Amino acid sequence: MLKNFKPVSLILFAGALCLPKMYAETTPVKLDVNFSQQSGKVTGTVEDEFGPVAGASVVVKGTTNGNITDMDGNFTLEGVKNGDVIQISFIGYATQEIKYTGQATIQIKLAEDTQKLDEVVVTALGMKRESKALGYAVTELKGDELKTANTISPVASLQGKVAGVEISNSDGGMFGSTKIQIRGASTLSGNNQPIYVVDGIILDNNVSNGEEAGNSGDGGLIKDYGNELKNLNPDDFESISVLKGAAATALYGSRGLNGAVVITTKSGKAGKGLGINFSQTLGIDYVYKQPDLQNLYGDGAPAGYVTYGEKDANGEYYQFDTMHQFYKNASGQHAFLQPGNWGGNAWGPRFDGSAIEGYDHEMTTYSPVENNYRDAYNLGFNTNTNVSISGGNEKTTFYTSLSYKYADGTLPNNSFQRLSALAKASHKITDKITIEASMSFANSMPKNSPYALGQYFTSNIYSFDDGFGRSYDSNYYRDKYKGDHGGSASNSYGDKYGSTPAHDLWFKLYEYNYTQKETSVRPTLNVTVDLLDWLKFKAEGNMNYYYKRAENKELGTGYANDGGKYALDQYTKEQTNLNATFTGDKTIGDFNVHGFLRGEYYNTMEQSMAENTEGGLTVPGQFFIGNSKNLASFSGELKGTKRMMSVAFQIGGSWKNQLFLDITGRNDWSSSLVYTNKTGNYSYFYPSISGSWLINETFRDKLPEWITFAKIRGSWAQVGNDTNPYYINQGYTLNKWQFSNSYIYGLSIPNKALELNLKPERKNAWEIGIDWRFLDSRIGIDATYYKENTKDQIMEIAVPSVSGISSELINAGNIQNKGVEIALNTIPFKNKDWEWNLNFTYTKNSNKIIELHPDVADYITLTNGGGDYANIKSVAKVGKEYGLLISSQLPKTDPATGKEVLAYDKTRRYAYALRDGEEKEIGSMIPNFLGSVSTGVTWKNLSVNISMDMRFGGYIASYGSRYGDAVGTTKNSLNYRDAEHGGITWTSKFDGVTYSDGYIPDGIFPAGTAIEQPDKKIYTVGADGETYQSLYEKGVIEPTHISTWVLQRNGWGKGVVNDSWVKKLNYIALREVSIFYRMPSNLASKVGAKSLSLGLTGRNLGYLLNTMPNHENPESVRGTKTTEFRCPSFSAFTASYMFNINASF
Amino acid sequence: MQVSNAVTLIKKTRNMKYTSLLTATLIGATLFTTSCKDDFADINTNPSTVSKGHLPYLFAQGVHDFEPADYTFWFYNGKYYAQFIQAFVPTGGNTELYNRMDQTGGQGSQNYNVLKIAREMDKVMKDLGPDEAAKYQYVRTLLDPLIVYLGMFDTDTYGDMPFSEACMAPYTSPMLLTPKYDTVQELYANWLEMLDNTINILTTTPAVAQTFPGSQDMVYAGDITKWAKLANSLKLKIAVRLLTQDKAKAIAIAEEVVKSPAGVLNGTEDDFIFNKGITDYHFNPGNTVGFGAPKKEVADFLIKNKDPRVRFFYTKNHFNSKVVQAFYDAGKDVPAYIEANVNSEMENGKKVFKSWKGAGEPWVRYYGIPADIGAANQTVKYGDYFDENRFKLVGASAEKKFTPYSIFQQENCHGNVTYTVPVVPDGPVIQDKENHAWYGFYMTSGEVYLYLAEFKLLGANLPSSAQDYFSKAIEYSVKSYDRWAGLNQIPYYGTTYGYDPNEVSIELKNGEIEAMLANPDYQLTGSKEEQLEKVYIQEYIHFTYQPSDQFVAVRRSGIPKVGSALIPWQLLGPNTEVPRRLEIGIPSKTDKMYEIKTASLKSQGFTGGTSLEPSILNRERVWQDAGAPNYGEGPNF
Repeated sequence: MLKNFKPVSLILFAGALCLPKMYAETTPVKLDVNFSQQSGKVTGTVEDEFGPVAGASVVVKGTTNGNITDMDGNFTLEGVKNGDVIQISFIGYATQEIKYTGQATIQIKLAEDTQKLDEVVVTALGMKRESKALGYAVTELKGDELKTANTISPVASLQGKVAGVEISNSDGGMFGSTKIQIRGASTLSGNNQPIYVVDGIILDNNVSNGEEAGNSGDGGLIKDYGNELKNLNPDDFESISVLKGAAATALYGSRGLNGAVVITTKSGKAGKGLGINFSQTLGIDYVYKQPDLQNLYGDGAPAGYVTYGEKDANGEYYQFDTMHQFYKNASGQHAFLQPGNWGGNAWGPRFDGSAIEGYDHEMTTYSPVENNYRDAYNLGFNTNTNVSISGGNEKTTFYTSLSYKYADGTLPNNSFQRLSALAKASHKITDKITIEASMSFANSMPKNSPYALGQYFTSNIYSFDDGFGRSYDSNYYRDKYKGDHGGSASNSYGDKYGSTPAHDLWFKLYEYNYTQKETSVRPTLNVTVDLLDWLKFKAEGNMNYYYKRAENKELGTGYANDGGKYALDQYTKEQTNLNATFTGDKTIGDFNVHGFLRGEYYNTMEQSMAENTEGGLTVPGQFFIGNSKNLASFSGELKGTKRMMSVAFQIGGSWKNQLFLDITGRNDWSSSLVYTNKTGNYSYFYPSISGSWLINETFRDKLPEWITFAKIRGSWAQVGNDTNPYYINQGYTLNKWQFSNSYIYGLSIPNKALELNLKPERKNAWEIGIDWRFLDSRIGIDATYYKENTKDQIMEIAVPSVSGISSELINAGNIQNKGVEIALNTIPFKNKDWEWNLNFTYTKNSNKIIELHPDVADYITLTNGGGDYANIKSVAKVGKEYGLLISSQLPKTDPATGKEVLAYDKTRRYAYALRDGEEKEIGSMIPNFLGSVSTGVTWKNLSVNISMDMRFGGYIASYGSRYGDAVGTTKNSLNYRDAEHGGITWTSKFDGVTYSDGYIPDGIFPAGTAIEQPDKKIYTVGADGETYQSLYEKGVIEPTHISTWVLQRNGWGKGVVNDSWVKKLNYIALREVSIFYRMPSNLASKVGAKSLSLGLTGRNLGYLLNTMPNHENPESVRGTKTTEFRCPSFSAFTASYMFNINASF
Repeated sequence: MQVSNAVTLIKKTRNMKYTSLLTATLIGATLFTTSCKDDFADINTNPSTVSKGHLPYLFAQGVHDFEPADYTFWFYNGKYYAQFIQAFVPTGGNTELYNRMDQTGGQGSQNYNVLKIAREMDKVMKDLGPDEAAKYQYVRTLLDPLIVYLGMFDTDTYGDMPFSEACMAPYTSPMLLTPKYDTVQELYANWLEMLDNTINILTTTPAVAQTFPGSQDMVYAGDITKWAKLANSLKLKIAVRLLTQDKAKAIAIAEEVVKSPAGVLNGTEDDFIFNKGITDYHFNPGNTVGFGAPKKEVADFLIKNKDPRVRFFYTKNHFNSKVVQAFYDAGKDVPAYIEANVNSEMENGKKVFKSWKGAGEPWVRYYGIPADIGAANQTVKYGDYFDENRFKLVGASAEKKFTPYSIFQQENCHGNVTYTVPVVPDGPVIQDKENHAWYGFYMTSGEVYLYLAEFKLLGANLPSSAQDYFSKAIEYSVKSYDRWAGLNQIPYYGTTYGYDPNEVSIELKNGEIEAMLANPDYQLTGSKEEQLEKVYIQEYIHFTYQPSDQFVAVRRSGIPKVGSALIPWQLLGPNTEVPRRLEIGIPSKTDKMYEIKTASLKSQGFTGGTSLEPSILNRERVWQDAGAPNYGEGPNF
C-alpha cells in the first residue's frame, strides 16, 4: 500500500514511520541505529521496481549495527561478519534477509508487502495513524485508485470501493451531483452527506435539491451544477480516507456528523533532481442504450379518442379503432399526429412502411426509428492533462501541479472545463521549526446542464400531447425548430416546422446558453515547532475562497425572437480557519502516551447578487441587463455568516503495541445557536472513547499460524451539532411592488414558530469491529457493527397552517441507524508473476424513527411528491424506517373481495380504478443492502480490474414508465395491445368492428354502476358489486381497450400508484473495467522516462441486473437528497471509456 | 478573534516554557465563552430581515395577499364550477364523467393569508400601547372586509372552518396549533359584526389623526369612503347567502345596508377592482385555464340580447372575413352556423365573402358549443363544433387550424398573454404581446345592485324599484366588465390590428347599454317568478369570471331552469348527480387536526374522500345550501 509514498526520500520522515509511534507525522527524529566498528564492509543499493528507495533500514540481524539508505538508495555497513544476516526493511515492503558471505556490494530489490499489517492511514484532522491502533473503521484509498475513474465529481470515483458508503449517480449529467451517504441518514434534513476535507480545509458537500428541476417552465432543464467538490483535481490526491463512524469524525465536530472524506494531497519529497510526472487521459462518453421502448406501433390516440381517419356508414369516425385509423392532413394524406392532438402518443396502427406525411410536411414512411432516444445524444469527448513537478532537499521540498480538463457532454452545448493548479512547499527554518505553505487554485466552467430528454419520449409530461413518438427521428428533426423569423417555429405563423414535436426543447438546447464559472482558491500556512523531544506545537491558518459567477442568455422563442432573458449571478463564500495544536508523544517502558490540545477558530460568510431582465429583451438577441423590457430585477444579500470556536483534546495510550486506547473531547461554541436577543445554548461538549486490541500480539504463540492478524476494536462517541446560520432567528421580509410611478411596501411575516430554548443536536454512536487476516493475509475480513442515534435535531416540523404558522422549529426526534459493514479481501491465487485478488463489500443499514416530537401527530414529510407525482411522499414515521413512502392515490380496494374498485365511462367505454383518497403505506425507499465485488488479475506489469456494485431493495417511483406506458411508447405498453401480446379479440356490438386489444381489469364495480348496452339500455350493477370478469361473462360489458385502461391507470388525472412504475429496485452495475500496463523500465527509459504506464478504463458499462420498469436507467433519481425516491423521467445509459498514459521523468 | 489572539500570543512566546503556553492557550480558549456572545448574536441575525413591524406596510401586505382565485383555483375548482353549472363546456365536449372531479385546490384557506397579517397587526398594536395604536385604527380595520370576502369564498363550498381561533399560534402560549371549527352560521354572525365595526370606524370621525398613507393603498388610494362602501356592500353578499336559512334576517340586513351612511358600491369608480403592481401578471400564460368554450345557449342568449359582455367574456373565434374567404378559396365549407352569418356571392365561379349578416361584427365572432354528452363523437350532428379536420387549411409550407367557436378569455386571468391574430395561411404575423398589470375583478357595483333587485323582489323594504336596481345592475355590470377588459387590455379592445377590414373592435360603444336594456329579457316584466328568474340569470351572467360566486348563485336559485326561454338548464344526467360542494379529503391520521377535522365532517354530515359519487356531493350540503332548490328547479324562497 505504501508504495505510493515512494519516492519517499525524507529520511527523517521514513525513519519516524518505521517506529511504532502513534503520530508518524509528528514524531520527533530519533535514529536508534548505532554504529560499531566491525571487520567487513559492505555497500549496496536498495531499489524497488521504480528505482532507488531512500530511507530503507539496513541492519545486521540481532544487532544494533545498521544504517539507512540515502537519497539514491545507497548504504554502507561496516563490521559485518561472514554468516551475518543483513535485514533490509522499509515500510510497506516485505522485509528481506540476505546472508553475508563477503560480498562487497549487494543489490536489493524490495517487493511490496501484501500483508499490510503496519499500514498507516490518515484520520481526522489529517493525523496519520497506524490502522491497527484505531478503535473505529477507516477505509483509505490511494489517489491513483481513483484517478482511473476520470469523473468530474470526486465522489463518483469512490463508488463501490468502500463498505458502508452508499454512492449513486443522479440524473444531473456529467457535472451534476453524486449522492454519498455513510451509514444511512442520520438527519431528517435531506443533507446527510459527509464533509470533504482537503489538506485540513473542510469543503461543503451540498446536496442538489430534487425540487429545483423539472418545473414546467424549464421544459425539463435539470439545473444541477454539482457542488464545490468539482473544483478538486484528483491527480493531486495522495490518499483518501473515508471516516465512517462518529468516533472517527468526532474531532471534526459538528460538521463531521455525517462522516468525513479526508483527502491528503501529494507533497514534495527531498531527492535527487526533479520528479516530473505527466499524465494524459482521453475519454469518450457514449450513450449505449435506451430504456425498452416499443417499435411496433406508431402515432395514434388511445381508443375512444379517435376523431380522425375514415368514417363509417353513418358518417362517424371509428372512435375506438386505434389500430387502423391514420390521422390525415388537410389534403387527406396520412400524417403523424399533431402537437396538441395526442402528439407523441403511440397507440396507432402497426408500422407498415407506407407513405405518410412527416412532421415537417415532407413525405416519409410509416416506420419506427428504433433508437430515437439514444440517437438524441451525441458522443461526448473529454481530455485531462496533468503535469506535476516536485523535488527538494533536506531543508526544502515543493510540489506543483497544473491540470486541465475539458469535457464535452452528450448533449449539445453541455461542456465542462477545469484548470487547476497546486503549489506546496515546506521549509525547515531551523532544526525545530518547519514552515509549510500551499496554494490551490481552480477554475471550473460547467456550461448548460443537461435537459431531461427522456420525458419527451414518454410524451412530454409538461405538455401531455407534444412528445416524441416512435417515428420521431431525433437526428433529422433536431435542427428543425426555428421559423424563418428566427424564433421558435409556430403554426400560428405558418412556419414549416410548427408541427415538429416539442421543438422548443431543441430551441433551448441550441439557443440558450448558461455558463457558470467557479473559482476556488485555498491558501494554507502551517508552522510546526518542536518544543521538546516529546512536545510539538503547530499553528495553522487556511482559507477557502469560493466564487461563482453565472451568465444566462436565453434567446427569445417568440416571433422574430421576441421575449428572451439575460441574467447575471454572483456568489462568494469565504471561510477562514485558524488552529493551534500542542502534540505530545512519550514512550515509557511498555507504555506509549500521546495526546494533543487544540484550539480552533472558524468563520464563514456568503454573499450573493443577481440581476436579470424582466418581461423579455427590448432588442431581441442582445444580451445585457439594460436591454430589459421592464425594470430589471436585482437582488443581493449577505448570508450564511457563522463563526465557531472550539477546543479539542485527545489523550491516548498503548501498551506493548497490542492494546490501544484513545479518549477525545471537544467543545464548540457556535454563533448559529445564538438568538438575536443574545441568549442561546451555544456551547456544547462531546467526548469519545475508542480502543483496539491486537489479539495476535497478545497470544502470538498460542494462535495457529494461519491467523496472521487479529484485531478487535470498539468505540463510543458523541457528536454535537449546531444548525444553519440565521435558522433560529427570523424577522419580517420587506416586499415592494412597483406601480406606475411609485412603490407600495409590504412586510411579510414568518411562517415559522421558534422555540426559544433550542439545544444543540446530539449523535450518540458506538461500534465494534474486527479486522482479521489469515494465511499470510491472503484472506482478510474487516467487519463493523454500529448503532447510531441522532437526537434533538434542530428542525422544522409542519404544523396545521390554519394555526397561522406552517412550521415550528424544534429539537426533535431520535433517529436510529444500525448496520453492518463487511469488507472481505482475498487473494485466491498468487505466484511470482500472477496475482488474482477478489474483494467484496456488503453494507446493510437499518433505519428506524424512534421518536419525533409531541407536536408531530404521526409523521414528518421528507419529500412531498405533490399532485404531479401521484401524491407520493417520503416520510419519517415513528416506528418505521426513514423514507417510508405513502400515498393517497393507491387504488381503492373493495373490503369484501380485496379487488380494485372500478368506475365506468360509457362515452368512451372504459373502466378505470378509483383512487383511495386516504393515505396508505407503500413501503420503504431504503435499500435492503448494498454490495460490491471487485476482482483483479495481475500478470507481471499487466493488470486487469473489474468492479461491480449493487443495490437490493427499496422503492423507487418511475415517472418515465408511468407516463410512457400511458402514451404507449414503452415496451410494457405492448401488453394486451394485440392478440400476440395477450389482447382479447372480440367484435363489438356497439359498432360491429373487430378489436384485438381487449383487457379484463381485475376489479369490481360498486353497486349501482350504470353500464350502457349497445341498445342504449342501462345495466345496473347489483348489490355488493360485480367484478368486471363476471359482467364480461354475463355479456353486459365488453373488454376495455387496453390503451384507455393504461392511459387512465397511469395518466395524470386519474392515475393510481401501481407496480408498473412504483416498485422495488435491484441492480448490479458493471461499474468499471480497467486494464493497466506498466512498461518495463528499459522501454520507458528509451523515451527518457523513469516510468511509463498505459491504462484503458471503461466505466458504467452496463447492468447485469436491473429491475426498473422498462429496464430504465436505475440511477436516475432526481437530485441527491436522502429523501428523494423519484425518477422523474428516463435517463440515458452513458458509458465512459478512457485511455490514460502516465509518465514520470 | 480571541483564538487568533491566542495564536499570536503563542507565536510570540514560543520560547517560553510549555506550561505557560498551555496556560495561555487555555485562557485564550476560554475567553470567548463569555465575551463573544454579543458578536455571535450579530453574526447570526440575518441582515436582510426587518425587525420592526411597520403597520402601514403590514396593511399593504394584507391587501397584496388577498387572493380569492389563484392559479390552482382557475385550474381546478373554478373549472369544475363553470362546467358543473353549464357556463362552459370543455372543448373536447362533455363526457359521462362531466360531474366528477379529480384534484381540487385554490380555495378553502384563502382567508388565512390576510387573517394572519391582521393578527400580527393586532399584536404590534398591542405592543405599541393604546395611545399609539389608536393612530392605526384605519389600516387595521380595512383588512376585515377582505377577510370576510375571502371567508365567504372559502366557506361557499367547504362549509365550516376554523376562524375565531385560527392564526393564533404565534400569539398564544402554549401555541394554539389546533383551532376549533366555527360553523358557517357562527361565521356569518361574526363577519357581520366585523363589517359593522369597520363601517362604524370608517364613518365616524376618529379620535386621533390616522396614519393611513394613501400611497400604501393599492385598492382605493386612501379613499376611506370607498372602503366603507365596500364593507357595507359585503353585508349584502352575506345576506343573500342567508336567504335559504333565515330569510327574515337576510332581508333585515339588506334594509340595514341601504340605510347605512356608508352607502354601497355605486358605479365603476367604486368597484373593488385592483392590481398589485405593474409587473404583477397573476400567473404565467403557460398555465392556461381550461374552462373551454361557453355553452352554446349562454353565448346565444348574450348575442341575442346584444349584451356587450359577450365580447369581454370570450375570445373572438378565428373566422374573420379573410379566413372565411380563404376557406371558400380552398373549396372548403365553413361551419354552418358561421355560414349563416355570411353574405356571399359567386364571382367568376368563385365564392366571395361580401359582408357579415345578422348582428354583424363583432357579434358574429362569438359562438358557444353544445354540452350534450358525447357530442364530440357525433360527427354528423356536431362535426361543425368538434371535427377539427373541418377547420384546417393548407399553406405553402404548413397547415393551419382555425377554431370556429369562442373560448375562455385567458387575458382576463393573466397579464402577459401574447395574442396572435388569426390570419390566412402564409399571411402576416400580427401579435399583441404587450405585458401589462393584471387587474383582479372582485366585488363590483353590478353585483350589489343585483342583490338589491333580488331583495326588492323578495319583499325587502328598499327605496327604489326592482326595475331600477335591475337596470342599474346590468348597466354597472357591463361598464365594470368594459373597464376591466380595458384595464387588462384583452385582444380587440380598442383595436382591430388592421388585418381584416370587416373587423370591429370590442370596447363598449355608445348606446349599446340602452339598446340592450330595452330587450324584454332584460326588463323585469312578467310574473314575480319570471322577474326573479331574470335577476338570477343576470347574476349567473355577471359572475362569469367569478366561478365560485356563479356556482353559489346557481345553487341557491335553481336558475338556469329546465325548459327556460332565457337560458335553459340542460339535464345531462339526473340533476341530483351534479355536485353542490367539492370533495374534502379524508383527514390524514397524521394531521394534528385529524380529530377536529373528522368531527367537523361528521357534524356537517359530509363524506370525506376523493372519487366520491357525484350524488353524495349533491346530497351532502353545506349549511347555507341546505334547503335550496336542486339544479334547474328554479327558486323556492
